[in-house]
Amino acid sequence: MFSKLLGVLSADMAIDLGTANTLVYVKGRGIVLNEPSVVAIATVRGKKQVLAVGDEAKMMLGRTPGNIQAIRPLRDGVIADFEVAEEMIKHFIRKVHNRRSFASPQVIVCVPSGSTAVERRAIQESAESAGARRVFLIEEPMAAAIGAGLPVTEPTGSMVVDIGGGTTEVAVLSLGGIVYSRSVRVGGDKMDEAIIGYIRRNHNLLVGEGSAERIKKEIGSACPPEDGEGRLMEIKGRDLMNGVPKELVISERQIAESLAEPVSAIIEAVKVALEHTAPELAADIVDKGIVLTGGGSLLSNLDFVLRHATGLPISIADDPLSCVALGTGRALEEMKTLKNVLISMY
Amino acid sequence: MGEKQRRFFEQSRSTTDHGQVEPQLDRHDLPKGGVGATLRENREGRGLQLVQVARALRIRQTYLEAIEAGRFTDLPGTAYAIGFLRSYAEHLGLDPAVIVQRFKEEVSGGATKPEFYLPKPIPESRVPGGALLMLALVLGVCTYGAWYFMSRADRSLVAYVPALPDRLASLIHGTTVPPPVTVPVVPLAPEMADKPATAVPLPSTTVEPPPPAALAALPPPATPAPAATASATRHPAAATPPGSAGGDDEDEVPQVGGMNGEPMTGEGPTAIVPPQPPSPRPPGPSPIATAAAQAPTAPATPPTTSATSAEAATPPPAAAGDAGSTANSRVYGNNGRDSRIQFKATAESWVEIRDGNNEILFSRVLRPGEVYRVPDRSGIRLNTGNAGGLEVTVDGNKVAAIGNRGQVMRNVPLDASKMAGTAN
Repeated sequence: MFSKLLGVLSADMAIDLGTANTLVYVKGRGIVLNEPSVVAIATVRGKKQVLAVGDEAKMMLGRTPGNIQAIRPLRDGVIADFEVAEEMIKHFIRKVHNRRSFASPQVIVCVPSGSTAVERRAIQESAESAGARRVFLIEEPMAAAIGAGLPVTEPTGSMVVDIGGGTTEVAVLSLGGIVYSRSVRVGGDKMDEAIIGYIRRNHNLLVGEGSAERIKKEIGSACPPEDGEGRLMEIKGRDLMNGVPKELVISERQIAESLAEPVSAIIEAVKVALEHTAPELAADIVDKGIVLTGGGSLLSNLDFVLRHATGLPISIADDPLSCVALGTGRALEEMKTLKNVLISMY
Repeated sequence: MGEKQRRFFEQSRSTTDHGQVEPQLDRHDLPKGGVGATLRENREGRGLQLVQVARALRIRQTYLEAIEAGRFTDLPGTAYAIGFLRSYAEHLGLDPAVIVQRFKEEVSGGATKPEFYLPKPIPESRVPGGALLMLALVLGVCTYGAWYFMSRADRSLVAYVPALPDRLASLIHGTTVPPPVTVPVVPLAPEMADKPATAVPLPSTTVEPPPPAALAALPPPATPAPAATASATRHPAAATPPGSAGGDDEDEVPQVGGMNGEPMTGEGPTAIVPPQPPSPRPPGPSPIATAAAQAPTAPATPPTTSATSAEAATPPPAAAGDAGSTANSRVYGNNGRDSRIQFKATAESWVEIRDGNNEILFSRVLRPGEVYRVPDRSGIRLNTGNAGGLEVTVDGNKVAAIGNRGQVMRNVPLDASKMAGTAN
């Protein structure tokens, strides 16, 4: 009763709780917040307090003194640290509502299709204790497909590959439901790790996660260039041999080599999904092809590699980074129509 | 092959200044037509066949043709159209962002986002609960309403007036009937009294014949009487004009006689004597009831009436008429003692008399000819359903009617002295 009253005062929200970034869509206002999923926690006299969330906290990542921790509460698309995740959601809800309290919105949160019931429950409870009145969950590939503008409710097969920070979701959708979905825990993070590992092995240089991400964005490629070394980039880190900070130049070809493993994992996932697709849906997909969404789809030449691997037309969605948030938001706006794409645990 | 070209273009694009390439495209291609035309020109400029592009991008050639011709509705959807355009533009070394932007401008207003419609499961065919419930409710209310209305309508009359079969009514009338027979026709009386006592059915045949004979002679001279016969038929037992009714009344009359064996002597006189002081009244204006009363007397007084004319005959019948009226009907109320007001029904009218303590003294429907004598007490009030059907007499004088025919009057105070003032 009381919560319903508060619901009138608060704007309903759709949250794309991603491993790398959290996007918040507010009903009637669109995407209002896009910040890294990072929380900086300070320990003051034995008591943990949130110091910063989002962009500010991301700057601290890997640069914190002993009493401060910069934490990414999500790993592989699911919550790894409950309390911190809760704090983060609470912070975002408050930020969106521009006030400290009396916000009790209805919230839709997206979850990886491969997440377990326990993980879903964890996300739901975090959102509830962060102040949400009611929590609905939506599977990420569905949200991504809606956000990309695919005709998901029509009786025609659509294939979407959402490459996020923690997971890659491959799904075939038709008639408003997921016909087949496959989630592999490979994404932007795995690519960063692959880059870090490659540089450490081949150059004895240790680079941080942030630097690795920058390298990936700048010169990352799914396949090595035809000839030559491709684009070059200066990277900085700590030399493992003599322990001093060092700077060296790395080429696109080298990074493409380092990314071969996660990229092939993604290709494999897509291929397996295609293998499991019913012939009628496969026929639809041959015509229309696969749509890539998520930050990972911005990796250059990924579409090219997938096109070669599958022989299908590959399209990159418009604004792939916010597809999931837009799709979740659309589900929020059209809750009545899209009621059965939502998962409710009540 | 294609891949090499692509690489080349990519590099050339990345090395050349973006500012140089894009404005050229815009300036050069916008006026000529849509995005499709731009793409075709660029493709032809690079000497590429559509088939080659289709093979490189794995996009069906028909779709590429549709893009070049600007038939975007032929593409599987906006999302795919944008994807194809981006791939195509990238393949040709154009800036995909610019092409997509121009495409969006071109189709602005067109369906940018698919409408979602999810088929809903058809509800199992059940009885439409709401509608049925409503119908049942309405029907129930109607039925109850009808029943209530009907039962109420019944109650108002029936409760007070128990239906009296004619046969029974005739029996009751019988108690008062004999007097006219006995009193005026003195010579007949012993005969009647004797015969019923011995055999009931037989006397009827024996008694009957004489009156017809008497009556047969009567009608022609007694011209004012015909109306009387009509009303007289309503009291067949007493006022049977044998000429008209004939043999139907055969069994009725003997019964009367049979019943009257005893009352004829005891009750009969008492009932007749008190009614009212005989007031000579002209037969014409006198109400039907009295006229009816005349009928039976007519046979009883053949010797006198038949001899005289109708006018001449009036005085004696009038006296007999009053007696006859009471004979036709019952007289209710206290029998003459201290009663000043008397109601005589000229039509069926319901009468209820209450005393000062609001206690019901009398309540029933007075049939035409029936009389009620109001006890002479103060605070007596009258309720009636047919005020015009009551003829009121105070101390034997007729007074104005209480109301009109069919008028319902309630709590009419019955004060003899006041009512006497309204005498006409």
